[in-house]
Amino acid sequence: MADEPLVLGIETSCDETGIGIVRGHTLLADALASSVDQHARFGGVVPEVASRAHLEAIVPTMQRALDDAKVTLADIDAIAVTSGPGLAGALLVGVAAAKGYALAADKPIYGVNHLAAHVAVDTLEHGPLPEPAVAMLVSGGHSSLLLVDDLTNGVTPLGATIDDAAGEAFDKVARLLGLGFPGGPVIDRTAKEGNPRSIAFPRGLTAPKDLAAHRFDFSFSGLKTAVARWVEARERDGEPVPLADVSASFQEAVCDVLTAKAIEACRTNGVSTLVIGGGVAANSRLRVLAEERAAKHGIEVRVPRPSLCTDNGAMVAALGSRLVAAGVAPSRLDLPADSAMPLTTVSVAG
Amino acid sequence: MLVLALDTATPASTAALVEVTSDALHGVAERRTVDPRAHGEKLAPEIEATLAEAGVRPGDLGAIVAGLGPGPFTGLRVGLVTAAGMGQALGIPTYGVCSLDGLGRAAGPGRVLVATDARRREVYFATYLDGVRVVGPDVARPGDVAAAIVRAGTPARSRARNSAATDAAALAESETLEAATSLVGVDAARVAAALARAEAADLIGQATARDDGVDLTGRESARPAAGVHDLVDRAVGEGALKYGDQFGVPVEEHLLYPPGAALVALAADRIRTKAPSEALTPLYLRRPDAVEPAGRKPVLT
Ligand SMILES: [Zn+2]
Repeated sequence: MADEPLVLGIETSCDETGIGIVRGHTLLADALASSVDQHARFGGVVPEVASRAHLEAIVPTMQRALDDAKVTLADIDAIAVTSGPGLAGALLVGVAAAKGYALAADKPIYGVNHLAAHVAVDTLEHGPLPEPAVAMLVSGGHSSLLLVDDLTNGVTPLGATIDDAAGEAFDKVARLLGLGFPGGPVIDRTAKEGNPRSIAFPRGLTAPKDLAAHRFDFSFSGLKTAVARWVEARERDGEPVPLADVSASFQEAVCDVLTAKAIEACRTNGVSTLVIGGGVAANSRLRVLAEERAAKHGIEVRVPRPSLCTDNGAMVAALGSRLVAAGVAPSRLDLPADSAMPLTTVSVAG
Repeated sequence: MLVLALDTATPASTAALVEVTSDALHGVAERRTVDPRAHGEKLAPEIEATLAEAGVRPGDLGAIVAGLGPGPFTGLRVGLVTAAGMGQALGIPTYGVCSLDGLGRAAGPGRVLVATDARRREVYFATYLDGVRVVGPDVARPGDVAAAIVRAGTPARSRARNSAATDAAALAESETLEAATSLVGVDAARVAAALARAEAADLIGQATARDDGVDLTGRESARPAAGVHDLVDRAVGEGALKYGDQFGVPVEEHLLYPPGAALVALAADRIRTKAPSEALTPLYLRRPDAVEPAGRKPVLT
């Protein structure tokens, strides 16, 4: 459908420089440059290193996206850019770049919420999102449960992590086990050989007294500490650490809590669609467990393919496309980068 | 040709429009906002207003010149990525220049210190003779600038650190410089100043070095430099204003931020000869703060 808006999205909130192009719900290009290798030796994302990498990557990544989509900037109807939340310096590079492109090519610019974009990207794979829906976003930077009434207008936060993000827990445990960075993929792989029930790690914020105050919140700090204590006790006793069993049991604890709370959020709100996004959505056990549990309650689970779950430009373009279609007013050229952008702001009003 | 100049290496966000002809530069419009935390918000509207004021459309631009710093990275990157994005969208070349050189060039004749605020109680600085850089750019505490200038020593050493200074490379082969680089333990800064005078004179097609009393033969100098005031006659840049009491030279308060026209002048040759577009990489004089973990990091802390 050539009359649907052609929207370009720019994502630089963390360590991925992403530029995506969509027409309506159709993905045309999803170019990505990652600085993850540069952060690996630090054991985590270093903001200054990420900002440098974004500046170097933006022009070539843009060129690849335009080439892949076989369009020029002049053909684009609107430019969407992640303006928050995320690393302040990293966001600023993407927002300034978007303004440069918008100014030069005379296009409207939409500053959008990174988390809402994680939800919107699913429309590229599974079509329009039934609303209301519940979205669970789990990555190295965020762990949130959201009620999505109208993706272009507002998202209601139901709960979030009170300490570490889910992906952060994977990174820290992987480092503890000497498995490298990023932790998600290596733990997923290592866990395949292990027994998820071999070690009973704690499930944060699931005790009745915690549920009263933190029904849909998460906590992974205690779990990380429990894994560290368990491993150190093992090493003190001079015994080998069973990496596969520890990985599998840790992963099971994370996925158990995430899926239990997500399904509960759907049931409480009378919602029959659960969207899962963020890098941790690529975890194989999380997908299986979510589908198992959802099926019992007639809930449909929508998880985009792994390359769309992690940070990318297509998700920003997907949300921009929804905003243009809904007739939402674009942002102004003095659009700020807002590292603490609230979930209630889906796009920055003009 | 209409050229857009952008600079965000200091608390100022500057956008300027300059007409470059075969033999002259003509400033068309310039806007500047001074707010060290607002480059990301101020620059784009400023560019839009500068173009509108001159009745110019982005498509009328022929090139973009951007100040590469040195400057605080966060703000600096705003100007560079905006310039790069505009250049890519318009299909026009982008050229990078040292932001301090813009101030040095605008400062005109004589011995001048350019200093901008590097935060953390440090300044980015460079010295200029008749608008041409002699020492720097570098970063130091204000109280250490004089020593750093002396240490930077001969133009040869400062040039080695600034390989981009192409016009200086020619000088590196001159006999005068050879004489100077063989000097050890002399008043290197005064020698540097004399050499730079020679360079400036040479560059503008005048005669060889003027005799200013500095001995280039290798004999010990009688008086070592005691401070910045022994090395330069005046200072420009907001860093010079902030730490003026430590430098002890007059500060020219009308020249605190790099003027757009001076930045374009530094790239005029490249613009006129339609030199290839350049990737805009900041002048990173400081290393990233991050350090690699020494070993396995304890999680239980
Ligand atoms: Zn994300």
